[in-house]
Amino acid sequence: MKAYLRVWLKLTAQQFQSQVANARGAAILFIFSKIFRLATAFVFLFVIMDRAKLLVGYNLAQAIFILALFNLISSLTQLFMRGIYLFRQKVVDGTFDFYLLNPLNELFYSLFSNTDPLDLILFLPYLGIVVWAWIGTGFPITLLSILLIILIIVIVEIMILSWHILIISIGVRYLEVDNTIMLYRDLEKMASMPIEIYGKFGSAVLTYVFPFVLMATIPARLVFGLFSPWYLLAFALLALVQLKLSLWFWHRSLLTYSSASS
Amino acid sequence: MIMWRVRQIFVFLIPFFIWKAVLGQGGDIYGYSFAAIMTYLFGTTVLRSLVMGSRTIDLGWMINSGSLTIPLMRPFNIFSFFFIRDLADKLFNLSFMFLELPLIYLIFRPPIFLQSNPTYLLLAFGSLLLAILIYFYINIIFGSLAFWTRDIWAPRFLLMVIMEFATGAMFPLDMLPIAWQKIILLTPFPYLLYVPLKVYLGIDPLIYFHLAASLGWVIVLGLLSKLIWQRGIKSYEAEGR
Repeated sequence: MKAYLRVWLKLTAQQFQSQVANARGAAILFIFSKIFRLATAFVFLFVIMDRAKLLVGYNLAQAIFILALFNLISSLTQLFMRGIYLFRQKVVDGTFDFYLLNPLNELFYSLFSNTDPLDLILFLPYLGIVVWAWIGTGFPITLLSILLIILIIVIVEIMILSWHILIISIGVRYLEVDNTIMLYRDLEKMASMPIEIYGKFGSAVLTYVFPFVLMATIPARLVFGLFSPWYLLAFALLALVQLKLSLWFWHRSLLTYSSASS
Repeated sequence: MIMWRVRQIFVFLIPFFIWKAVLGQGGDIYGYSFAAIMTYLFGTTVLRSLVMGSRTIDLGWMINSGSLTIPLMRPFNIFSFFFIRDLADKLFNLSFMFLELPLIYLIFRPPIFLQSNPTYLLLAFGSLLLAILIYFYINIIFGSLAFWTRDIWAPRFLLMVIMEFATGAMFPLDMLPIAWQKIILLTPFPYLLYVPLKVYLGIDPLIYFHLAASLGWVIVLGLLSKLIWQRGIKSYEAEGR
């Protein structure tokens, strides 16, 4: 574990140095764009709820809190797994061969070797926005709520890691990653709104099949006192099952890898 | 390919369910009923493919990789070459839409308003052509930045984020406060989706003014893109070739 942490820190520091040396202006534009995008999503909510007042039972402050939570948790997961966007190229050009030969796990290099320093920089403003939105809801910020949300984030990370492993496994087999990950992102984005808007069927899919409900609606409901934390045990179990299945699929997919390009 | 097209359907999902939650039981918001907003969303889905389907977005990559050299050496106008590639891409998208649109319709059953007034249809067609040209010139301008910098992904990302909001793709711009609308209408972005759709729906009180503004933007952006291109091409080094 220590070796993985050391390598990850080294790789991330290199990314950061490269960013500072080559693309400072671009970095500022990127950060501004990300914050502007979040602001437009808030404007959308303001526009709707200025007239509608309630969205499936949630008021404006609560809907904003859900959106802010989703934004934070989603960027936190993306922060660590940026490598997926480059994975296809690495299979095509043969770089993946070196990952297989490396003493560290090939999944580590495939997923975690391209941490975006800009996401790291954005983490603090995003966290600030969540705190602002939380205060706006009028519900108290307690130590227990914070600890439970951290627990949820850990479960979400396991779950999302499983999905990323599944997607790169498909990449190993069929060389298709880019559109699959974008499709996954589209699906994940559905969690930015209270999942009750998707009706009973949609909510069930987003709870039991793709448990993106954990990314925003459940932590928010927990803060609002509408969710029993004991259910998190079931979600933790589901996340572990997903991880186990995705690892199984990954190993099966590796057997089909023929290193055609190298 | 399949995944890419499935995404086109997914784009429709979130706004559909949000508006269904808000307006599904009847009533209206800012004068939009559920049927009107669905027609608008359905329209933006169609227009996105037609207006924003483009190959010119890879111009920056062509400059940085040096692959621009090949079309530059060919005996034709480079802008015409890019525009024809764009049209081919739009035709490609259009062919998929014949399958996807009925599919979206069957899945979501959105109440759709079909315009039957030939004047509005003609004006909407004109507005669509102008939107295609505006988007083309915007792409040329942003792609040309690669003549001076390798980091074109950040300006392009900013452009994408601004367009998502200012074209009216998220929601009709007339839901915003009047002052915001006036500011956004001073930019070329609402003439890409919002104005053509309002013209199609026949609910734009300033139809001819907005069409004239679209034409104005085509001329301004056309001249600007030519100016930037002429300056940029002088610093092109065919790097990588």
